[in-house]
Amino acid sequence: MYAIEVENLVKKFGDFEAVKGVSFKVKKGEIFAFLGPNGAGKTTTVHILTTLLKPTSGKAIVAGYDVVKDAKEVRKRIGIVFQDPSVDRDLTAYENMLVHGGVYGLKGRELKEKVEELLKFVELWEFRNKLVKYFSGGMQRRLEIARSLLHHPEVLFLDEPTLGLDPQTRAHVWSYIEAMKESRK
Amino acid sequence: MTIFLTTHYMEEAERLADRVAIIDHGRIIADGTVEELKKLVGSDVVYLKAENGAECFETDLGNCVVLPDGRIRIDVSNASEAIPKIFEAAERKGIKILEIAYHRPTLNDVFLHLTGREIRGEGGNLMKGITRARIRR
Amino acid sequence: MRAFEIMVYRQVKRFLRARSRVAGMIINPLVWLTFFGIGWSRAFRDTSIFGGVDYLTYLSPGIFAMTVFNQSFVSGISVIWDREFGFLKEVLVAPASRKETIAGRIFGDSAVATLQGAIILSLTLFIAKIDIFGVILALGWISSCCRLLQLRSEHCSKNEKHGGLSDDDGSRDASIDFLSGAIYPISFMPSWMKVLALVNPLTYAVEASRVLLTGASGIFPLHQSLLILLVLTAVMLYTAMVSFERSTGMYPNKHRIV
Repeated sequence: MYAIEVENLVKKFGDFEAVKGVSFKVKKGEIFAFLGPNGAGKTTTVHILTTLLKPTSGKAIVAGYDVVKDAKEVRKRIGIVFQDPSVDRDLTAYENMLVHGGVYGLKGRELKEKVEELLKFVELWEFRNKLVKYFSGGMQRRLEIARSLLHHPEVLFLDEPTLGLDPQTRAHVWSYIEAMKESRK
Repeated sequence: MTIFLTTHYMEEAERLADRVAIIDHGRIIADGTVEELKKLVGSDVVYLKAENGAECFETDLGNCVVLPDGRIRIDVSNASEAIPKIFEAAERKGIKILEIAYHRPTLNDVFLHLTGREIRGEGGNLMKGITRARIRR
Repeated sequence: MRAFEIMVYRQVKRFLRARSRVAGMIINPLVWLTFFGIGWSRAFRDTSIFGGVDYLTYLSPGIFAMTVFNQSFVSGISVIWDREFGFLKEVLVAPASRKETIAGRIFGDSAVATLQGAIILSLTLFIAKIDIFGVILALGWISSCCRLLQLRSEHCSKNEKHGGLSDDDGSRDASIDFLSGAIYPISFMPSWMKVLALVNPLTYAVEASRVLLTGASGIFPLHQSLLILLVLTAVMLYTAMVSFERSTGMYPNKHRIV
C-alpha cells in the first residue's frame, strides 16, 4: 500500500539535530516532494531512506523493508540520483550504464537492451561512446537519471535533481520525470 | 514506480509532485497536495503598499499581515472583487495606496505564510519587480 | 561475483583510458634504466658488491618492483578520488557486497600493475641479464603482493580528507624507493638506515624479484622474503576489505558520509 513509511525520524549530528521527528507516508505510484530551503534536512532524510545514514531514532520502511534492519533488501529496490554528480568521468556514457548494471547483478542481452532503451529515453544514445567528462551538467544529470532506472527500482529518490542547471535544462529534466510519471504503472 | 523528490524550487514541486511536504529546520510544517497547501493561504494573494505606513486597514476580506518589508499582504478569495473594495476602504480611511499587485498563491506564498520567510530569493518576487520598475520611473 | 567482475572491468578500462598516464608510467622507469642504469653500470666494474651481477641487472628488478609499487600507490589514491567524485556513494547504495566490490577493485588494479610490470620486464630483457623464467614468477608474486599499498589508501580513506597527498604520480615519498635496496645494496647502508629499509615493505618485493629475475644473492633467502610479502599482503588485503566495509557503513555520528 505504501512505498515509504516514516515514523518520528530523528537524526542528530553531535549537538545538531538535522531531522527533528519527521513522519510521513508515500503511497505506491505517487510522486512525493520534500520542499524546503537548503539545510532543512531534506538530503539527510534521503540519505537515511537510502541506507547511507543510520537514524538516531525513529523508523523508516522503504519498499516494505526496514532501512536499518534490512538495508540490503531496501538497496535492491531503490534507485537514486544524488545531489552531487556521481558519474564515472573517465568512462563513456555506455560504460557507466554497464558498470551500474553490473553492480546490480544485471548482465547479457537483458542489460544491453535496457541500456539502449534508457539512453534513448534521455536522448544520450548518440553520445553513448563519449567520455562523460566532456558532458555538460545537464547531460550528466540525464545519464544519472537513466542509470537510476536501469534496475527497475520500486522507489526512485531524486535529491535536488535540477540543482545548478539553467532554466532550459531544468525544464528538459522535468519533462523526463513527467514522462516517467506517465509511463509508470 | 514511486518517486521521492527533494527540491527547493517551488516550481519543481508544483509541476511534478502529487503530494508535497514542506520541510523547515528538520520538521514537516505542512503536507498535502499542491491545491490543499495553497488553500492554507486562501485562493488569491494581494500585496499592497500604502503611503502612510504599514497597517492592516481592511481585514474583512481575508487574513491580513504586514510583511517585514512594509508590504501588506491580504489573502482573499477573489482578487478582482477584492481590489475595488480595498481601494474603497483605503479612501474612506484617507490612506493612499502606492502600489497593488495580486497573484494566485504559489508554494512560496504557502512557505511565507507558514514561516514568515521565503524559500529562496526566487519566485514570489512579483511585487519587488513592480516596485523596482516604479522607482526607476 | 558479478560486482567483482564489473569492478575489474572498470579499473582496467579507466587505466587504459588515461593514455598519457600509461605512457608516463612506462617511460619513467625506462629513463631510470637507461640514463641512470647504463651510466652507473659503466662506473661500477666490481660486480661483487651487487651480488655477482652487473649494476644494470641489479637495478632492473628494483625498477620493476618500484613501478608496480608506484602504480599500486596511484590506484590507492584513486579510491580517494572516487570518494570525491561520488562514484563510491553510487556503489554504496547498491545491493552488492562491499567486500566483493573492493576485492574486485583491488584485483583490477593488480591486473593493471601486473600489465605495467610485464611491459617493464620485457623491455629489461634486452638490456639486462634477466632470467626469463623468473619473469613469470616475479610477475605473479610481486604484482599481487604490491597490493600492500592498499594499506596507505585505506588510511587515507579513513582520514576523509587527503591533505598532504597529491594526485601527482611522481610526488610519492622517494625515500621508500631509496630505502628498499632497489638502487643500491642494503648491506652498504649505515645501521640506522638498515632498520628503516627492513621495515619498508618494498624492500621485500625488490629482494624477491631480484633473486627470481637475476639469481643474484639477496640478503634474505628467497622463501623468506616471499613469505614476508605473502603475510603482509594477506593482512593488508583483509584490513582494506574490513575497513572499507566499516568506513563506508552507516556512520552514526558524522555529518557527511562521503
